[in-house]
Amino acid sequence: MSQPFRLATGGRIDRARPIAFRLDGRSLQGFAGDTLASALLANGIRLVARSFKRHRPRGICSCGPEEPNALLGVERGPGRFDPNSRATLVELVPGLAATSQNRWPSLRHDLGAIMDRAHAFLPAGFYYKTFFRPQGVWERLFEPAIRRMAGLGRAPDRPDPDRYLHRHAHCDLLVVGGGPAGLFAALLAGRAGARVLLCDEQPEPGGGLALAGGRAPGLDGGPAAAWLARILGELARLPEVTLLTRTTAQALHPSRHALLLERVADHRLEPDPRLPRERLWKVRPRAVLLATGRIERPLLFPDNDRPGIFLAGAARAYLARFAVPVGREVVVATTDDLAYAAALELAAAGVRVHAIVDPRPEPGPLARLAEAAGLPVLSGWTVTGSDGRLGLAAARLAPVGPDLRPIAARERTVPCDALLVSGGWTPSVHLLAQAGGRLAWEPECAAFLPAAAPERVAVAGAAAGAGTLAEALAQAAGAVAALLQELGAARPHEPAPAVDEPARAPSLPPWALEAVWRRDPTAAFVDLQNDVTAADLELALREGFHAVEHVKRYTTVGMATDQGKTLGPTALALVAAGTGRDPAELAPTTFRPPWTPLGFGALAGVARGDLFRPIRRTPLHEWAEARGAVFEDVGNWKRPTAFPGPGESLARAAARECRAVRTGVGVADASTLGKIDVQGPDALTFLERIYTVDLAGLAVGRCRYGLVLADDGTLLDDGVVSRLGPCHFQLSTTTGGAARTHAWLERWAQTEWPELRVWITPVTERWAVLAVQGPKARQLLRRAVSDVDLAARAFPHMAWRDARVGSVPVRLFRVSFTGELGFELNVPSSHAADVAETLFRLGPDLQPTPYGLEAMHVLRLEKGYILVGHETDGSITPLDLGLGRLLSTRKGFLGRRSLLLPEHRRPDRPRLVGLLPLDRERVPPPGGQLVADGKDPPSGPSLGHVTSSARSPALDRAIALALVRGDLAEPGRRLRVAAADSEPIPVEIAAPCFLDPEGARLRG
Amino acid sequence: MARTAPLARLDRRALESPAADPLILRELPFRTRFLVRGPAAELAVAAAAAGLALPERVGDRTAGGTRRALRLGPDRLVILDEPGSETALGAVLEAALVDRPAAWVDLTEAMTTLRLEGPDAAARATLAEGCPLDLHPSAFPTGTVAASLYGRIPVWLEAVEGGAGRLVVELQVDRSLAEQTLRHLALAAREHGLVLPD
Repeated sequence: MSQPFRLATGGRIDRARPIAFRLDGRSLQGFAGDTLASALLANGIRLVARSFKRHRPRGICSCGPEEPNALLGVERGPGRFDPNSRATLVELVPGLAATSQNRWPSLRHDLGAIMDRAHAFLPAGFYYKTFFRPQGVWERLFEPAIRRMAGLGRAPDRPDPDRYLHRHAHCDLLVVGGGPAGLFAALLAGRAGARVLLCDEQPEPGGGLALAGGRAPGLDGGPAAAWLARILGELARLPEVTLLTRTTAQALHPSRHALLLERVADHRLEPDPRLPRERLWKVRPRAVLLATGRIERPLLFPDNDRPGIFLAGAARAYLARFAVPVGREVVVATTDDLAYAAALELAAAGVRVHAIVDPRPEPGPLARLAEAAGLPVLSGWTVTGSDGRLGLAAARLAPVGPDLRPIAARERTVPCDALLVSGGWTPSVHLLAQAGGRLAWEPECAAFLPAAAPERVAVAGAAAGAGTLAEALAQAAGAVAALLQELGAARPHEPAPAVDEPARAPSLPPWALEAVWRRDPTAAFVDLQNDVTAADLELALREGFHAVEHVKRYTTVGMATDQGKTLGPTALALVAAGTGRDPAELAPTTFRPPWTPLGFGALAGVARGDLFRPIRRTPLHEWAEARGAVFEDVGNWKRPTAFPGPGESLARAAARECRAVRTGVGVADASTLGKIDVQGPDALTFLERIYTVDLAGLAVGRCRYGLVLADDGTLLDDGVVSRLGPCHFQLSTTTGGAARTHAWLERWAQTEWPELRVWITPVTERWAVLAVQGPKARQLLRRAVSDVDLAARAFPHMAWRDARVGSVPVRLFRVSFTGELGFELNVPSSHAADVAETLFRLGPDLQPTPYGLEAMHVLRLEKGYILVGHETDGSITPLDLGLGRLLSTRKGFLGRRSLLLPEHRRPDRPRLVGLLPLDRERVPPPGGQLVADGKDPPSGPSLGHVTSSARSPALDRAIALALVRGDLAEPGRRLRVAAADSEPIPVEIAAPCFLDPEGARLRG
Repeated sequence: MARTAPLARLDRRALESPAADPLILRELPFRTRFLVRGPAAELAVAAAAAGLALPERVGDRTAGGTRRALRLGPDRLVILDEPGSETALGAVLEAALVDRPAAWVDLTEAMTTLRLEGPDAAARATLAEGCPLDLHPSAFPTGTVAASLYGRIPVWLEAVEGGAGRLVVELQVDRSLAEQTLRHLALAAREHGLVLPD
């Protein structure tokens, strides 16, 4: 397979390693070291995409991250598909398959191209103006249709098989950009002993210096390549310098927190399955030097978007790095000196340069070198248009008058296959702006330059506006010295190397040639990716959008995935000119992270699948599993729903488990309930302020149920406070409220009452908890537990005792969430499974029955015990729940004062009630809205809602708890529960406790 | 009675990755572990009762016999001992701290220990995949302890031993969160090579 545009020698590709790849199914070949873009160009492929809106043919125009056109779908194997990949950054690997986007049926024959002829009807914002009525049709018809016509690639439809990692890193100096300024800065800092991290997004460091060819400046009296090799060699020997290539600085946050994306695996010719695909570096450097370089500006002229129009610097890079001349018959149009170097290098490689047009009457010395080399330099000329169908066929050139107006009569059409353009350079100040630096318009560079940088952030080199390499290196040396001094490190004294480079004449910004683009503003593109033209900008201005941010949003200029890296400043200048302002009066649009698009995988890191969030299992998990538990998620915990026997449904299992607890003994895993240890001389004072109930009278060995309120009086959590010693308490919390309650306690202890000597430690995981509940609970425990008197008189309800199971020290709490005689057996976690088995082994005649969450919920519902999160929702107070008896009147506690507010005492506040459906078998759905009784279909305001419901095996009927408007909450009143898919369910209000309201069973 | 280690159920083989000099990751269950809270003077009393000096600075540790003291915060000291010593050490702390303005909690059963060892650079890189601290040898030398995070999971870190290009680090983590931490460590260690001995 031939590569017609590949030179026989030169470049940094490995001709001994040909690499096969595909574009839209067509087999092609490149070499190791190629990018997808360079390999396509080597094969003479120009047309790689259709534009977003108008479906115009588009080709590769740059060689870096700024590429607006060459977005391709790239597949590297099953599941490894990335849409919208910039071909300029995709390194070629065997088997890579690229597909073009936004075309049908093919790139060459795209039916969507009709859109280009229809462009007069599709101005900026056309969809807002055109498709707004009839109502509803937008969503169903217009939007889907527009999305199909316009757009980027398709999202991958398979799970990503790759791994992504996040790495934290620290250093003294982070250098962003591995061009000459960045490398030199890293070297100086490294020599001074600093820990340096340098990142560069290209596969090889060197920046513009590595991408320039024969006309690269000389350094230290020798060629640039030799200087680069020397610096890289020394950097590699400095142990505290880390150089990351293929690593893009995506974000620099205020306080210098930097995010770098390292592409670890995609480029490898032999994949290593041990490597992650990408690694997101989270760097906290003590100082940052931004040597992010600059981006070349294209010229603005009608039909400036044809495949075959390249940035001049990109043409140099393709030649120097890949030995690919971008054309054979070339025209150069520039307003800047460096494009002459491109022309000279291409000419030296055998390319025919037909003309170099430059509207400036006096270009710099490079122009004279070009003339001396016999190249046709046309000073005072410029490009006025381009011809071609699917690619460039000719450039239109014309001389300009002193007012920079092209003289149409003298326009010439010059056939060519490549047009190199350069309209000067834009410093890359994105990261500085992200970090909070200030930018100011610098008329000489016609660009925004750093005006003020955040603490210990500096900018050097082309990014800071350096026009020459010598200036860039001097800036780098100065910036490093200043930063190291701020860090208190040794200050390096190193002279910048001598640079041999031609002087440069000032360049002319692209927008200076207004008369050129005015010849056809509808084809003069200021945003190639979003298809925004000068005409669209003018329309926005005519319609009254004058602020840059407004124009941006109305026209979408600069809002594509390239974020307007090439033409953004031109768009801004046009807005300034169109509103009679100087660009200095405008602020650039906000630069937000990331600098270039990045995939979700990199952002997610390891947080997917099993590691998306922790899966927490209790020490009794395997025990429950062995007994047939079916698990459900409660927060991050796995908890048994029920223990169905063979062929038994979950509902039947739960009913059986309920009956066992009411008539025999049940055993549940309650380990996930939060446990918090509170100690200190002021522990009692502290808890008295937190809990609603009196704790001062709580004796050691006793427990009390209490509420924790938020300061607005609503219920935060509930639980049991146990007094372990005079200054020592253990709190229980709900499963989901454990972390929240701990944070709440710490907040008050640390920030509001630091004078209290109290220490709070979560101990949830120290103990596994076996809830042993039912009339036979004591009988069962007697057989297993020693060193404790379980008799009711010695061990009353709401008390705790230390005990033993065999040799294992355990702690027994006599508490009940079922309404039955019950104990919670706290076992050191590692002994839990063994103790659980012991219980079952010792009591076969008592038939201890494992029970799960479902039974637990029914049992507590029968008793009307609230469940935080069911009966409460962040707006419910203890008064609403009828728990006024738990509000101490003896003391103050958090939330007390709020409860005194009239609002909290209104008669129509929600009120917790029981509901008895008139049809005993119809269980009202939780969340079901309560409506007035009657025959009409449910309507009118909601009178409340069902908070919990179940069929109660003990009562042999459906029951529910509900929050009802307080003024309607008297027992006996009939209401209905609206159900989504059936007739409303008539219910009668009852007391919110359906079983043993006296609590006799509890105290047995 | 029999004890069950928190990570006993884990399928370790699936997490391994081959290399000439791999990292080694294992669980050290049942280590005796007490958290003491209080003013420095009280922490010193607790440490002395355990036969240890109080580490002067936060981030330091002291050792003596089978015990170690980790100063994780100004008012936060962790005392470690061999498995099975919780009754003895608990009695010592109880006697020393009774009626003093301090708190102590037996966390032996609440947490477990993950021990990572291997080539120094690989071990530090693996830790850096989840831990936001500066783990450079100059900032985190052997003997350093810290309360930090691995991923989103709170861990206590200790650079236990080092030298000759190798490093041993221990992470102590809540028992129900240990599996998440171990899996994350294994993903991070894969490129360096990893074995998980039983």
